[in-house]
Amino acid sequence: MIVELILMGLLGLIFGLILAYLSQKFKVRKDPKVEEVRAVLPGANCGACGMAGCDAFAEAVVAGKVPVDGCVPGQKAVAEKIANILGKPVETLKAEKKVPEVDKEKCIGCKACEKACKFDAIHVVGKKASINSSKCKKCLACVKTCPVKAIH
Amino acid sequence: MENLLALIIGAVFVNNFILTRFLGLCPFFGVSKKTSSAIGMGFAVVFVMGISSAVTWFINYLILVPFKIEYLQIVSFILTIAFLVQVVEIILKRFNETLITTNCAILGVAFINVQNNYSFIAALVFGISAGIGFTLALILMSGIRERLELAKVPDIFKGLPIAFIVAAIMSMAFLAFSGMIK
Repeated sequence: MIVELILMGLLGLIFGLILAYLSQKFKVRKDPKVEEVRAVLPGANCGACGMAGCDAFAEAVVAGKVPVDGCVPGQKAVAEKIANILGKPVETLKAEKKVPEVDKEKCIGCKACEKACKFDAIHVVGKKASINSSKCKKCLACVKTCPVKAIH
Repeated sequence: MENLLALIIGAVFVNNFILTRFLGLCPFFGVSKKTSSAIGMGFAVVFVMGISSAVTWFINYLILVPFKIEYLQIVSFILTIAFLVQVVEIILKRFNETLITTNCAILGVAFINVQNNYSFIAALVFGISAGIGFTLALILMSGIRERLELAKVPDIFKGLPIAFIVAAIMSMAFLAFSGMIK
């Protein structure tokens, strides 16, 4: 009984010590700003910024690889918040993007855009796609997805 | 040598951990949505399975057997595996998508090694090839699931239900290997 207790205790102790040592040695210094930036992003992971998701975008912004207004659905409001966190001036923002338009002639009603939309803003009504401009965040995911290039 | 080859083929195909032994099903469904993450997960599993079969072999034959406390196998193996998973997670931060490698598949490898009285080399080879078999099934599944995203699936089958059906069919396909190695 005592032997088992000592052995298992020793095993746990050794593992614990090794883990403590390794976690100190391989510590990853993560910028707390990344989390702050991540918190102000919309969190839709729409990929309109060209990154894999909001987490990747937050890291890239803090690293200075992408401009603060890189978040397309977040638009100006998010860009300003990010600029505040990073203490950077809001760089001259790109021309405001507009809600895309559907070419009813070309649209084949395949619903590909409906699936692509992360904001539930586009629906196929009567075999043609139509965009709800109040829900649209102008991320242009539908434009990229459309197989017949009917949205622009 | 021939024995080792039989061991490898046995672990990868005939007794595939996921599709024949039904071990490690949680990551099989959880991480098989994208091929890229499936590959990352697969390599992590190969790594952890290989190392944990080596370490648990030592623990079994150097600590548990000499002190006649084999009944503590479950406790000590779980402790070891959890420790190794943590080590992998600390060193390879890029697998930060919750490494669910503390699963039954890895504990399964450790116990199969002990039950079959494998030598150290055999245990190591078995662990690595079991991991390869796991990776194979995971990558196959993720390829299918990526296509399923685009396929016309009835609404009620979307997501996990259709994945379970696919897994059942894949498992039947792998049954064709049974009997290849006694």
